[in-house]
Amino acid sequence: MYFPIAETSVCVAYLLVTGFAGGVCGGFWGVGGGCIVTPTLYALGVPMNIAIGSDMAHIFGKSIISSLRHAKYGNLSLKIGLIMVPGTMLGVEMGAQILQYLKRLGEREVNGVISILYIVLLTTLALFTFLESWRSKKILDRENNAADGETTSAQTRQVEDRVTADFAAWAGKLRIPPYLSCAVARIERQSVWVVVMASLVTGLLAGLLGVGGGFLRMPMLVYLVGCPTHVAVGTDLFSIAVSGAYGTFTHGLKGNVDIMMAVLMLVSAAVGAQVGTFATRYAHGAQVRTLFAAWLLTVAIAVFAKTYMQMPAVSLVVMLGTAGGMSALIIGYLIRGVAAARADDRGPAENAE
Amino acid sequence: MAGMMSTLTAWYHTDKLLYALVSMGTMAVVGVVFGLLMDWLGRRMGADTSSARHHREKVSR
Repeated sequence: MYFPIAETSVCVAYLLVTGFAGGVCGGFWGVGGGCIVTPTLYALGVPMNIAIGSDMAHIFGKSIISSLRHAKYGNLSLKIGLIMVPGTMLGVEMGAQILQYLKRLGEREVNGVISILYIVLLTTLALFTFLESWRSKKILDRENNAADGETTSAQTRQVEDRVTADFAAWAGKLRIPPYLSCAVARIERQSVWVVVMASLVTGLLAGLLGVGGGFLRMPMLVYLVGCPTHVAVGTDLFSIAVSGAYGTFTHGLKGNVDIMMAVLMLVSAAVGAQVGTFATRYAHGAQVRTLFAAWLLTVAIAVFAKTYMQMPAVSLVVMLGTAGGMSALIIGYLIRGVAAARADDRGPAENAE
Repeated sequence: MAGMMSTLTAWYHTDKLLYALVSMGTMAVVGVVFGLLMDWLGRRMGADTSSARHHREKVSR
């Protein structure tokens, strides 16, 4: 199909598959999926500026769907989401200014600094998340053995809250008013400045790296602010919807959005986002975070392959392969979960007979 | 479809502000409509999309 705004022809099936994979991963982890969609569009022959703008537009539409779904599930803290908006905007602008400064130094400096930052950040985040999820699992297994049976979801949540609360505890020592309390996020007292700082830092890195920043904001909400994983995912998606609206408008003004391309991706992303969000019901926080860490690590490998090994094709295959593999795994969680739930529902009825 | 595409392309070339507003509005409307449509489809297929109860939580009651 020919897209007159992008002035290029792209196979519609590719757009639908890309949108679907981005939707599944986005709904499951609370990320926009810019790391998946933009490079794919670029590889399909779409100019980089149109790829970034159209991706941003489809992320906006998709995050509205996922935010509505998470809000319905009680996973959205509107209070924290709204506090994060100005900090994120300011951070993005600061990041963009630093990028402009680096650009003035030369293209080699930009690529060098951004790539190193990307690799260090993704690897650190992935290792930290792996270690923390492993710690959660170990405690859960121990309690499981002590209870001599299966722990309930409420017990699992208590263990996860305890582990992530350890990390958020030092941030809670910051005694600068005003303070925030949030029943949805189970936060009794936290300085508003911790939330503002988290949004500022993630916004700055997002602006500097040219991404939406969901992959940074979600762990920040868990480890720094102290949100449970599911609430962090929902709140992060809300922030993405707000920044996505602004991004769509500003990229539209600059002529970077191909609306037809964005709508096509949004249609399949809508299906994918529902699947991803629904799958979170059948996966525990530690499982969500472990998959997330694995994905971060492969993105770091892909960036390394492209920058330091001059292998852009390998990088693209790794990125797309991971997105496809993760989508399949998440759908597998969903199918297995639905089947187990149906079997559990049938069990008591048969026993009653 | 072709008419809509040519109108959008004309706006893209002549009035960027209108194009930006239409892009934002279209994405919001398509997002909400598809969200509700998927909800409806999910219910028709028998999935309980009304709450976030984890299936183990449901069993433990």
